[in-house]
Amino acid sequence: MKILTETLVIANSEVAFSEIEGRTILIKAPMSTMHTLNNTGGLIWKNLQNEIVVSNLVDLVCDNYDAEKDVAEADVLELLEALYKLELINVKS
Amino acid sequence: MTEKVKSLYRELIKSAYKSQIPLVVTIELTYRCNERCIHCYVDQEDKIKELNFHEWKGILDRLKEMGTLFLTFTGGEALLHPDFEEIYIYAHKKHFGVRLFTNGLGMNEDVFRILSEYKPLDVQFSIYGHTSELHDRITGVNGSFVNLINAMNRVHSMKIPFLGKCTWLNYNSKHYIEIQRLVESVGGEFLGNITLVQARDCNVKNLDFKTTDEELKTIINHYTIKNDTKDIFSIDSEKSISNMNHNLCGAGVISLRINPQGDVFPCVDMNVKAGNACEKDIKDLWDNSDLFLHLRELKNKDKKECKTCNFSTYCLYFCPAQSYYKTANFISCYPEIKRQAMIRKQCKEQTT
Repeated sequence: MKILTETLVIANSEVAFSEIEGRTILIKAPMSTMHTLNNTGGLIWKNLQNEIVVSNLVDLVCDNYDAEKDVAEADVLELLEALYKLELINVKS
Repeated sequence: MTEKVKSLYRELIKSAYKSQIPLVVTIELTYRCNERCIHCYVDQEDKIKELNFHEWKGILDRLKEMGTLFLTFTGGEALLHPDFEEIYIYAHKKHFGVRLFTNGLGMNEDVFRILSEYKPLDVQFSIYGHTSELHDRITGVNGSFVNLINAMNRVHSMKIPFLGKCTWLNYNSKHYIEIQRLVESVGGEFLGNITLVQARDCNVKNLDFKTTDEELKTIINHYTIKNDTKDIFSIDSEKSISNMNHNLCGAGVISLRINPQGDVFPCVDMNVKAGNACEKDIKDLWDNSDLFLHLRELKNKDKKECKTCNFSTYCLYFCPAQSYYKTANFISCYPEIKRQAMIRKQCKEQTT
């Protein structure tokens, strides 16, 4: 499924996570999958705990990191695509 | 576990040590148990007041804020707690990586439904034999083996990873290959433990069941020579030296245990209390209790006896908790660990 700025996304509720030293650690059962996110990824992950439209995530990144909108949008979409492929988030059209 | 995940896991542990985060927490929901294992280290306290769901909820909320990631439910037999379902589901919804330790005896359709809906990272079963006769003899409960194997099969069918964990005793050590094969044949991973933990009430009677030197030698040889397990004969000396400034272990540094009454301890084996999580904020206990601060100060270089010991390079499982039982000192030598090191050395000498 292609993720667009108007797509609704939410974290997979099965994923365990914790923030340690500025990094967000994600673990999905079984234990064989573990992933880390940097500060920006961590901010996005926190906001994925409830359903959210992708464009709102882009706005959050712009507000918190003073990023240009088109750059932030590309980065957010790239991260969400990766998270989706790893089954760490669910996507609702 | 892939190499990449192993590397990430090592980094995670390193970060937790650096920041002193209680990454790994063990929750003992109850001391009640439906088995009576001959070697059990837990006091059989049937009459203590156990924390209920609401009390655990408050503690879990605080642990989440403190950065805890791995949460293990154990006992006694955790499934016997009347609020097990609520507590387990709440922990899952708080996004802890949940593990369940169980003997399998109390696993019924309700438990399987919960595990299926809220998958744990893994389930860890206690197994002591490859037959009903042997396993049931050690657990003291007829039918416990059949229930255990059924539970393993069900968990495997739900695609939940599981471990079959066996403590080697003089009763079962002759059957280590059969027990391992059995666990693997039903889809689990096997983990054998050569250290028998002393009972928490300091009654040493359970240690009567420890392996003899010959039995231990056979096991160590099997898991090193036949399975080519590296690093079990000796620790690389360079690595040992570089670890001198490292903490003795994770107890009180990256791990803690909470018992059924809310008492807080550094780990499963260490029965020295830091305080009570219902009487005092657990973050305050973690940050400021004398016990935790003391454990964080202790380093490998403080183990003075090890510096002159002929077996130190073969000593793989130094455990401050076990040392404390024997001497009320976290850094003294514990004879059972030394025995294991001596046998490891003998095995090494026989193979070279």
